[in-house]
Amino acid sequence: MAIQLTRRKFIKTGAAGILSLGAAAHPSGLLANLPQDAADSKSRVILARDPLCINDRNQCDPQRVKQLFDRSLMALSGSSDTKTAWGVLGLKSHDTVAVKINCNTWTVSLLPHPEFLNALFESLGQVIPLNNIIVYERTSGDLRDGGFTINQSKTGVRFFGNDQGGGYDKDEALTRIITDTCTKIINLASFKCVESDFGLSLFFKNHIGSLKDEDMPRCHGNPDFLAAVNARPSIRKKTLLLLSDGLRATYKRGIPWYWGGIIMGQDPVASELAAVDAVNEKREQLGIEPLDIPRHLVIAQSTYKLGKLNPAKIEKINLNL
Amino acid sequence: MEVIMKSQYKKTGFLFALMGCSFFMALMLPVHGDSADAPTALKNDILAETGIFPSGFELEEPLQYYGTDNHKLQDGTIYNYMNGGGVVYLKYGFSTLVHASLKNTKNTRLTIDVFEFAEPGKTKSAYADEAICPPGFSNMEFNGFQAKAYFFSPEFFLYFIKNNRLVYIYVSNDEMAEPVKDLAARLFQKIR
Repeated sequence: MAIQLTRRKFIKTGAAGILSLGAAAHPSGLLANLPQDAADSKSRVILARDPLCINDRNQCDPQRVKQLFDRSLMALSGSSDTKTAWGVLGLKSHDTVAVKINCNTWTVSLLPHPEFLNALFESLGQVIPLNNIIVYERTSGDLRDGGFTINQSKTGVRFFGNDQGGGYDKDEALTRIITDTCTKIINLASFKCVESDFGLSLFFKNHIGSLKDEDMPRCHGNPDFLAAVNARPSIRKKTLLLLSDGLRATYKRGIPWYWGGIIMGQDPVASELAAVDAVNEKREQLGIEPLDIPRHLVIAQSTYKLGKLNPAKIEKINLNL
Repeated sequence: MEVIMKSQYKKTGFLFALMGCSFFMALMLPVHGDSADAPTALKNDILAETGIFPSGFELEEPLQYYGTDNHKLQDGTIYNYMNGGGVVYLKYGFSTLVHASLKNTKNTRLTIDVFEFAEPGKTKSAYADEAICPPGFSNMEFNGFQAKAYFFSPEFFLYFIKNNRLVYIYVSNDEMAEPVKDLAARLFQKIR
């Protein structure tokens, strides 16, 4: 099919090109949507910690969590306020944002903390209506098990599972929540060490919950499939932010750890690698064998160009509040 | 005589026709790739017994039953319950899981999982595997049995085994540890 390029389209395309160049010049910006190895700039990842954010009863200080979140967002975007930060990262006022959380936190609870979610919602609410935020999981039952109330109304943040999200897209085999309903995705993963082949259950594994039930087991022991899922067009193009609630984490399968921090980035490979490093630091302190770089990260970088693995191409910013 | 024969012939013909219809109707029923057994197929379904749970706790939803890819139960397979975490259980011949999720008025969550394995030897191996029962436990002595107990503030949970069953009990508030230990002792007695 021949493409008719009108003068108006040409001007629009040119403008988009100029905007893209501007974004690429920024250390993070819209780079998540570009083949990472083609981008010259480094992938920025924030590791922010505040030991007073959470106590050893898994109770959070909402003000400190909000401060930690806001500071991370500003550091990631290089902005002086959070509203501007969202704009720099690529959020538009008409966007609908799907937030993928993980309620399957076998065995110790690593559910996203309400204080952390509130900080996210409050921040997003500066740019988009709260009703344009959809928190989703594999099923509404999983969300209920996690203590969340299902909300499909026209007010407030919406919460529902794939089973109430209009089915699955035929081509991408992903929930329609992310292929059709939303325009942006926030991948909000627990900070969970599972060892085995995966190392961590973080950003890549979080999207297992965006798949059809019958496809879920295909991820097990299959790093290529896991990387490929995260390279599907909707996930690749719409992901706005990778975010991990590490207020409570695990450094070894099933062993809780009040890490008191969050991980934030736009490059899934670099962000997950930063989490592996953080876990290995703890394991080294305790004399536990470090985790290897998970195979799915290597494949995601080399085959699917989803991000950077070379530490020289990653700008890791440690914020200690 | 001829009338009787005709009548019998008619009856037999009718029966054959009925059987044929039934056969074709059975063919027309929706066919599922895997059979989903009713939970009644489980032996020794101890969680289904009344009065087994600590007082003040109510089931949030009916008991759930999970099987394997080859033998799905009404709620699916172990993967439907714990995603990839199920791989290690399958290694030891996992066959069924009965899951109970309860809550009390103070929002304390109580989870009970009874896993059934192929045989007691494999159940022991599963119990010894750190991928199932992580390190960091205290050995807890009960009357006649041991449990691995985990005090991971604010949570408390334990594992124990009997015959070909591995039982996991979790409570989100460790102040409820004592009722949980009592429950463990009751379940241990019930498992045959």
